Order: sequence, then C-alpha cells, then structure tokens
Amino acid sequence: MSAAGDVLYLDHAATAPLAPGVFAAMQRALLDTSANPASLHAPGRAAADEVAAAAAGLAGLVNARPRDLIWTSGATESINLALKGAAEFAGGDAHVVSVVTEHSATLDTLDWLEKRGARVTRLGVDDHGRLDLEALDRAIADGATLVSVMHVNNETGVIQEIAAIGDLCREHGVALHVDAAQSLGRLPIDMDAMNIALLSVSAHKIGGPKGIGALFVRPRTGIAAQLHGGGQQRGLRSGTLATHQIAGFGAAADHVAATRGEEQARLGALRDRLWGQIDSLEGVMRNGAPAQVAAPFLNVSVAGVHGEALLIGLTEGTPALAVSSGAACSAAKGQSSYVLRAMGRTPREAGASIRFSLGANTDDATIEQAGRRFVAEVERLRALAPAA
Amino acid sequence: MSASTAEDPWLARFLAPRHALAECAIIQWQGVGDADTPGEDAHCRIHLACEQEDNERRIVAAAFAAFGPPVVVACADWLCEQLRDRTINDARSLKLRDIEQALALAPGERYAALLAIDALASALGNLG
Repeated sequence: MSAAGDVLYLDHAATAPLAPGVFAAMQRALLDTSANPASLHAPGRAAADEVAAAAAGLAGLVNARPRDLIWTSGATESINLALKGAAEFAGGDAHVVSVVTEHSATLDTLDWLEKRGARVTRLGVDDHGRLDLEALDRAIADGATLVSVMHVNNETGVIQEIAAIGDLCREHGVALHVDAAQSLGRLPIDMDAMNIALLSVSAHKIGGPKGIGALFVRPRTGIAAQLHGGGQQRGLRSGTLATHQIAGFGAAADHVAATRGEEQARLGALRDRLWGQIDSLEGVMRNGAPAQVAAPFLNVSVAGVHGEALLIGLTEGTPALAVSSGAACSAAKGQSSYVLRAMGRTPREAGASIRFSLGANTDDATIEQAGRRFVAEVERLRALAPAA
Repeated sequence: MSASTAEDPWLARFLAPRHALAECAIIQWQGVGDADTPGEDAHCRIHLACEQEDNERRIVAAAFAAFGPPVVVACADWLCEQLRDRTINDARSLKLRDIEQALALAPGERYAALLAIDALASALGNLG
C-alpha cells in the first residue's frame, strides 16, 4: 500500500520513499562523521571520506568522474547554477536553446536570464512530447552557447533523445546541459558517450533525502559560480558540505545501481497493467507514445470531468490515491498543463490530466486498487455532470 | 487551483453529495434551470419537483447536476438540501450569502455559490 496508511502512493516522481540503507547512512554520518569535511584533522578527513564514497557511487551511475561533481541543495539549484553559470561565462554572447516543456526550474531561470540580456530560444515538441532534432540543429547553428534539455519529462515521463542531442551538440561544439532529475536511476546515463557537459540530479527522486542534489560539470566546461563564500567545491559552490545528506544520496545511488535493471522492467509491466485497467473507460487518452515514456510514468487525460474535481476526488476520497496533475488544473483560467498543451492537448484535456508515477513500494495490489478507484471516480464525476 | 484540503467544510459534500440527479428517483421535474460560469469552466443545473398545497406550491424535491471544481458540486448539493419543503416564495429568498456562510467559502470560491443561486433562479422561473 504505502507509508501513509490507507493512501495508495503513486507519486514517486514527486518524491520517492527512502531507499533501504539511506536512513542508516545518514544516521552514521550525523553521529560518527559529523566533522567538517573541509577540515584537515582526522575527524574532518573521515567526513571527507564519507563524501568521497558518495561521490564515487553517484558518479558511477552516470559515467562521470567523482571530482566533476558539485553538491547542491537539489536539482533546482543545480539547474540554476548550470544555466546562470554558463550564461555568465559566455558573457554578452549567451544564447541558450531549450524546450517549452522543460521543468519550471529551467523555464523560470531562462526567463530571468532573458530579462538580463541573454538570448533564449524555446523549441516546441510534437504530439508525443518529443523535440524535433532538425529544429534543434537550426537553433544551435544560430549561435547557441548552451543547449538545455530534460532527459525525462516530469509530467509525462516522455524521454528525449539525449544521445542524438549530444551528437548534435558535439558537431556544433556547443555545451549540453541535461536535467536528469527524473531519469537518474531509471534510464542509462553516460555523460561521456552522450556528450553531456552539465548534468543536474536530485537525491529525493531516487530514494535519497530531500535537500541534496548535484551538478556534474565535465572538464573545460565554462561556468561561473553563483554562490560565493569559503571557496569549497573548486569555488563553484561555496558552503560547508552537508555530509549526512550526501551520505544519504550516496546510499540511494548505491541501491539504485544494484537494482535498477530489474526494477524498471517490473515498474514498466505494472504501469502497463494500470493502463490496461484505465483504458476500459471511454474518453481517456494516454499522453506520450508508450515506447518513448520512462517505465514508472503514466499520464492520462480524461474527457468529461473537471480537472480539479478529478484530482481532489482521487486524493481526498477513499481509498485515497496520492497522484499529481501536471499543473494547476482550471482549463478556463489558462492554468492547465503547459506541457500537455505543447503536445497539442486542448485546455480541458490538459486540465483533466493525472500523472501516476510508480516506485519501489508499488505492487500488484496497489495497481489493482488504484485502477479500480480511478475508474470509479471518473464514472462518479461523469454521472454528476449535466447531460449535454 | 485552490488547494482543497480535508479541512474544507464543503469537501464531504463533494465526495458524497446527497442530492445528485443521478442518484435521485424522482421522475417528474416541473422546473429545470441552468447557469454557467465560463471563467471557471463550471456549469450547474437545478431540478425542482413541486406540489400544490392550498394556495401555494411547495418544493418536495430538488436535485442537481454539475460540472466544475469540487466547490461547485458542494454548493449545488447544499442548496438542494435547503430547498426541500420550502414554498416557492421561500425558495426565492435564499441568497448567495446563505451558501457562502454555510460552506465557509473563500472569496475565490464565491462564484460557485452564485452559480447555484443563478441555476435555482432559472429553475424557479421555468416552473410550469
């Protein structure tokens, strides 16, 4: 079921429960290696060893060097550092090419940069949420200094072709930043083979604690620091390292590394089973081409129900379903999911959308109950609505 | 979207309305009225069944159908509950403020009360 009583928890893309070993690692770091890892004495070195071990584990997940890792407070900070840092380094020539379906951490940062003189190109997506590589090619040729693309979309789970995008960036000699908050541990990531210069990740999406993330910066990638102080982390992100958070992230990375192959296959099968239950309803549309969606994700739009009513009905009814809508969901107020609207959905379809995201504690019984509950709630709301 | 929580006084009505048309066995409705609020993507329909009693008509049953955010369903349900056994004149005296107060609506939710009141006014006007 879930960690929260009678709630069917299917919101792992928002936050995953702590993975095995994470709490113990954090407790050990808090109690046994609590010194400042920047200190030169023995307790400090012990804390530094804790940090180094975590960095090695995390770097191994993405084929990067541990020393290329900058610890941050989470993916949002990583993205800010990558985009602002790269734009500042590029100076007056800064031109960032990105995608309209990116997370708000990217979109809002790009807005901020644009107001300060940077050039920003936002590319659209097709009906399946995928970026057109020819359009990207043209945009890069128009003087791009950085390309920023999320690997797996946080609402739909749609996977962008990072390897092909990396090839394009390599051909043009442009740095590529990838927001991998939703792909870390779910999809193979190889910074070297994919030509990724900057990679943003977050711990709590893979069963680590909240409040810790990382930005991988490959050698000779130009970024300027955005947080100044004691000069930690090669001066790119000052501040004393949160050893216990880092240890937790490292433990989560180790767990994911050991389990991800089988686990993603299991979640994909459960996700397809959930869709099989929901698909029996008329007027339900699956967002994203199934073959191009990461295993734990199922995003559906539902005709004939109001988005807010559907979300509240699911989350507050019994048994409660812990799911998310893509965004605030009043179609008439223009607040429906910008991601789904970019994929060609109408405001109502985009407003009445639900994201299921599966994870380690999802089992057959959860999927069976969740499917039944979803169908029943949609039927209830449709019955409440006036006949046309 | 407003952040609905278990503390919302109208949440229980949304989750288990007692006067939904779909659940109602009444067949013969004498008055049906609609109202919508395009700005909120919401629509409310009120159905009234009446009986003649001495010199005045009395509402014996009311039911609703609604599309919109949860608060729209709750307001319609509360209003239908209040209508039972009221005379037509008495039903006309129900005001927006009555719903607002009963369900402790936030300013951003008042449109839902207005929607229900407007649908009632339309239904009363359409009584045969």
